[in-house]
Amino acid sequence: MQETVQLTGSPQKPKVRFQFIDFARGLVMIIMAWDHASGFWMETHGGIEGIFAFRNESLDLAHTLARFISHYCAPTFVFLSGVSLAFSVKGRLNRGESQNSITLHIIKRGLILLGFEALFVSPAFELPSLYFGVIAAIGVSLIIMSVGRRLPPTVIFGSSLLIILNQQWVDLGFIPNDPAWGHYLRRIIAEPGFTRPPYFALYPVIPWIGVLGLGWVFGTYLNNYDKGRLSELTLPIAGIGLTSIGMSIVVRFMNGYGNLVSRWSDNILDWLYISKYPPSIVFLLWGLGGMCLFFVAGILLQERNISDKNIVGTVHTFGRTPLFFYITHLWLYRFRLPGAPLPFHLSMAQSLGVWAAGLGVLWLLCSRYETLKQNHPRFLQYI
Amino acid sequence: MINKYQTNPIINRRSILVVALIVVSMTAGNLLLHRGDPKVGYARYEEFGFTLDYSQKMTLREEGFGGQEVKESGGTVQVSYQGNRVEQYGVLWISPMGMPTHMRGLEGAMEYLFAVASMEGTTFSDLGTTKSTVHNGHEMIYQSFNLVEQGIDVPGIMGGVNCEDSGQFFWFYFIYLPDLENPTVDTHELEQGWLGYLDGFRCHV
Repeated sequence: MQETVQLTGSPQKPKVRFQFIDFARGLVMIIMAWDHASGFWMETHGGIEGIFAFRNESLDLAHTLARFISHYCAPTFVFLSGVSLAFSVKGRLNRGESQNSITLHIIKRGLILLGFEALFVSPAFELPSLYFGVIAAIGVSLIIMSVGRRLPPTVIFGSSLLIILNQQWVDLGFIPNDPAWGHYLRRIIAEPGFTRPPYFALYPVIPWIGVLGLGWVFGTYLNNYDKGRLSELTLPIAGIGLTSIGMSIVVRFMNGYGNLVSRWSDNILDWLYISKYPPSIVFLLWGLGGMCLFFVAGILLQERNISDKNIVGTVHTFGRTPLFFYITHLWLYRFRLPGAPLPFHLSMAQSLGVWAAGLGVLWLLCSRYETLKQNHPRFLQYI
Repeated sequence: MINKYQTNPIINRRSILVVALIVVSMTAGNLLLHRGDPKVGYARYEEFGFTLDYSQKMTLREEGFGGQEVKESGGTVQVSYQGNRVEQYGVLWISPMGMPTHMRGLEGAMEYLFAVASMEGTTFSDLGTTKSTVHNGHEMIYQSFNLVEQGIDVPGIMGGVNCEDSGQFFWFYFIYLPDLENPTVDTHELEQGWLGYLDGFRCHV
């Protein structure tokens, strides 16, 4: 296996990377690319689940599923940001960096993410620069975790679960909604929506910071885990994943606590219309459960020493360059300047073709970027 | 080094148990505290001495009598489905002080309300017999009717309660026509619809 970033142990004994993490992240980046490519080019596309209390009745099953598949992305992406943070902190501590220096580094990274959201992400979606999306949510969560990480992992684990399980009762009534600052603050903290431009937010810090917190705890766990026993993780992770998916189906069936939007009927389309904005417990159980199964697939591949020079390697490459991939894929699939109108629409089959071709281009770009980053690690450390 | 890995400090049975206990108790506590909240997909209107839970698939509108603003002494709140069918329910209220003295009983109030509605421009083509039931501990009388809307008879039911604690009369109505092309409706379906929506209404004690 290749030796890459040292994650645990002494500086004299380099360790292999947890490739299954890269695999899971790469996989959801590919799925996310489909969601964005289809969103940019298809006339009919699902979205904003949860902002409206009921589904768009013009969406048929194929379009609904085309959107639903992307529900794995945000939970996995945010969770793995927490895992990466834990790996990064451990690596820096091993290299002898001080806690203060690490805190400062994380804050800088969080601020840079906020900058990227405003400068590169929002314009790609034709949204105002104050739009608070997933990158901004991760940025703010990182800034909070720059200090919060010093709490014992058990406390972070419990707090994260509490945030996720109790998010629907967060009452921000004490923050005035009339002044712009109050409205924006409420949007960012826990009340996503886009009724008052330019104060748009879709990824509120509560509960996403809870997902990142769970990722941090898992990363801290892995930091202390013997990689020689990686296969022993397969069964517990598969169990957690399947239980999580099963629970999401039960909670959706119950149609009460944890749903945020009602299952108005037994129609499959109503079953699939689950709240992402904000992410309901059903949504998170489904997404994080799927992520666990991606982990299992990644571990099995890693255990079999699958070569990095095939399709799996491509997935790993995407997983190792997430932020670069994220920014690049938006503009690649958008394929027009900010403000430029869409020249024509594509069918779902044509969009699939565009998506696949785009992945080829992205693989070339991400591979080159990875080499560039290896040659200039200091300059590109934040991307 | 191996020993360090074998006793992982992050996840062990004791810490999981403690975390689970705290998380489950706090979440269960919140569930208990919020057990009276509207169910998922419903919003709550809470003013003028009553509470009305309504589906977020429908639109709520307040309206006063005689073109005035809705106020404590009288008004209506209407919840309607926006689409190619008539499905509307709502609450009307009038303070007894604004009613003739001899009509300040449930049946008199019902009669008065139909009279007010007629004066407001609603045409009723058929009124059913008055029946009684109990809603949330309050005696309630109800009556079926047909109102004429653009030449079509739209069937409905209206029930009234005297909410002694707030000193108000409230009426809960439901009008329903699932298919405008075929303007008939099953009486049982109409009554079930009225009772279903009535579950979301209660006057304050």
